[in-house]
Amino acid sequence: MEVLILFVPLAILVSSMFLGAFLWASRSGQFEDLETPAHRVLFDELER
Amino acid sequence: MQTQILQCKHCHDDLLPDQTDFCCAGCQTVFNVLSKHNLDRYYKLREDLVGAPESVFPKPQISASDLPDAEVYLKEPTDFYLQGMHCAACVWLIEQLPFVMPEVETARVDLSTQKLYLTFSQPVALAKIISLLAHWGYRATPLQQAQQHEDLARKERRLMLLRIGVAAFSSGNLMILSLSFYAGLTGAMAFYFEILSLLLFLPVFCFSAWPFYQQGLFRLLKTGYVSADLPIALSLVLGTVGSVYEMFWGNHQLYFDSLSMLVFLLLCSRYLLLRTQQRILGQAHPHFKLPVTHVIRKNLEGFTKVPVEHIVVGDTLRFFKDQTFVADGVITEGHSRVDQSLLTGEPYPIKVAAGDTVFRGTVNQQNVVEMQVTAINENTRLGKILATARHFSSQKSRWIRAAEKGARLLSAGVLLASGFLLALFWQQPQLAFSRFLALSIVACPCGLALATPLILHLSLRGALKSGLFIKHPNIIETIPRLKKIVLDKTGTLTQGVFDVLWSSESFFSSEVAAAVLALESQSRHPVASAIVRYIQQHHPQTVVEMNDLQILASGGISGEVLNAKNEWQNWQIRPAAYNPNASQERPRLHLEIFCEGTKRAEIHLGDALISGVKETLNNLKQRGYELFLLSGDTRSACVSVAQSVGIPLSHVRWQQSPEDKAAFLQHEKAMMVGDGLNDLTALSCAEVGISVRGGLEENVKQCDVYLAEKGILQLPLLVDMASRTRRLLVFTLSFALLYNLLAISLAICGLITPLAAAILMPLSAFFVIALSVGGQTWKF
Repeated sequence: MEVLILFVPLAILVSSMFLGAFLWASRSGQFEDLETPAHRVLFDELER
Repeated sequence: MQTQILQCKHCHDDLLPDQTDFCCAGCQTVFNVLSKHNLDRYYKLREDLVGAPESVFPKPQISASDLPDAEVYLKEPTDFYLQGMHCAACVWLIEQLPFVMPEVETARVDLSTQKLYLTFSQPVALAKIISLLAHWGYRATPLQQAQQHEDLARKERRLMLLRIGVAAFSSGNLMILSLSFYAGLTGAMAFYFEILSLLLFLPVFCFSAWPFYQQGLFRLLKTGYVSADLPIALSLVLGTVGSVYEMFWGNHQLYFDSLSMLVFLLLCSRYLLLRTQQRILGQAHPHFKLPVTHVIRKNLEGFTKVPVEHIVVGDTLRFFKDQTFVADGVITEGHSRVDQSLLTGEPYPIKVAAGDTVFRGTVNQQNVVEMQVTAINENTRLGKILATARHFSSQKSRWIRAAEKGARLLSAGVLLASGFLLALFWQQPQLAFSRFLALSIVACPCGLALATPLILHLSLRGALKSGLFIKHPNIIETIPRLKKIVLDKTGTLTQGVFDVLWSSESFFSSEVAAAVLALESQSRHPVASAIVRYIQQHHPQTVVEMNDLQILASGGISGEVLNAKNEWQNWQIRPAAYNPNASQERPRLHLEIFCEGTKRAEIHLGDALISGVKETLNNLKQRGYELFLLSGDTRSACVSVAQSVGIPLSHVRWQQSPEDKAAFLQHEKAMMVGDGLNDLTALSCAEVGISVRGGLEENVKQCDVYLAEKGILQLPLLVDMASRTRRLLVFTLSFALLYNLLAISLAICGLITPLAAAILMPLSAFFVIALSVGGQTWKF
């Protein structure tokens, strides 16, 4: 039962990381345009 | 011998015999520019993504006068409105901008809104960017005026996402913790978890739920207005207070998990709504967009190029041929012809000279002129028209007002009922509180309030994309109820211009056509233009020399043309003598062509039916519409048209004055389809007035619907759309009402827990919104 003292903060930590990732994605504008990325996927890798 | 039609390497248009590889200098330039930068991968991509040679791509159109002054530099991230993109290959090409221009750090294209978002590593001249894109064939307009608006909209979206993220974080963790409570956890560990739950809930309570407090509670306090968000706001506050009480003094019945789940799910629906609304308001109407960014202004030293936004009343501006006037003004120097069709619908340009007024949106067709600005932006004639249009379309329709009222009544009713429940079970406070929460959460008046305006405005938006300009949401409601259609003839069913309907066999033999062309090319008369068009379409030839053009007293023209033996011969083109034995379907104009007195050929002109009209009207008849034809023209003209399209004689009225037409429409409940220029009185008397021609100005003021692109051929689309919208609205509202009835009854009987309510209600709200948005595209 005492293991919960470890698990609960760990759970919160992991979910904070997810929240952080979500916020980063939002701030870099990944949720702005939901249509064009579908086309971008079809571009092949360039030899640059 | 095998003749292969070669295609332009860039735009795939067919090449003329003397061209190799490219059809124009523009295409050649783009091709060379792309090759130079190693970007010709573009062509392979385009083929993969869009399809090979059959498709013809738009040609680049660059005009030197569109380039802005070299003084404007860009440093901050900027949005551009991009025209000329037609496929994903263009997206790829434009996003290669950072490789071609090092000052550009990132380039991101949004296909759906046709925007380009650029960020910069160093300041770069705006002119450089625009000219590079122009060389590639894309026209970029910086959204300077709308930039602030764009930024605010973006901030709003990001903030909403942040709220959702926090709510998701809290709900997830809270649900894990509360699982232990449901499993029967008690004791010290339980108290520890309860504190933790409260802490995890606080971000949701203070931050994520803020919009609900704003729209629910604050609104009530400021204006006494009961909104659909009030029950949610109250549930949140009272639920939190109650849960905290339970923690320390009560039976440990907590609701944090339900409440945070409620907030999370509702915010998701609201986000979908926000994006849709921003798209509706944000997208510029392409039909009215003036593609000009800079103009030439006169000052003390000479002329400079300035951005359009800097123009003030009193400035003197100079406009070249084919430029659009950006403001209302008075001509101070020069004379020219101006195409006013955007405003008045008149296709024939009018002459202007010093002292005449010109309007924003009209096009200078001939010579350079200078004008002094008298009005800009909202104060111009065009601006006032657009303001009128916007005013009408933003007014709330009967339906929207009814829906909002219904939603408010429901909210108030639910609150009263919950209060009543609370009082009823006051002896069992825990039970009472639980039922109170469940009821105030589960009711979903927001579905009613949100669905109606959303569906109607999305519908208007969709119509706009198809070229149907519907002035007011009310009209969508009226159209399905009408089963009679009154049609005007000239300009509505017919082209409205003279066209050659038929020519005798001898017309194109020997020198007849050449002589006729020589004579008619000299005139600007509609009949002459029609004949010239006809000849050039069927047997293109060069215009030969002619002599001594005269206009005959009885109508028609005469002149002298050289024949093969180099002799001058006299040719005449005259209206035929009236033949009483002619059939009823006499064309409008029957011309005979004489050479030195001998009749050589005949030609008939008239107002041809718009192609596709017959099919369109059959379509409408099949759907059960009763068609009428009203026209000011003669009996024979009306009857012949009616017979060609299949309208029974009993439904035809000829030689109608505007007053006659108006009287007919006041008597019958019908839709009227007419020429926006001539039928304005009649159109405003009809239940729904549909205009198919004419300029913006009168159409927007007087008509309910304006079929901008293909005229009457779009009528089936219009009625289709209106019935579809109506069906969608009825379906969605029925669902919302049914859900509320069911859920409220169950909650009153105590069969729904607050947690279940917290999940059911947002689901129904989401479903209603998804239905409203998605229903536009599904086959309804």
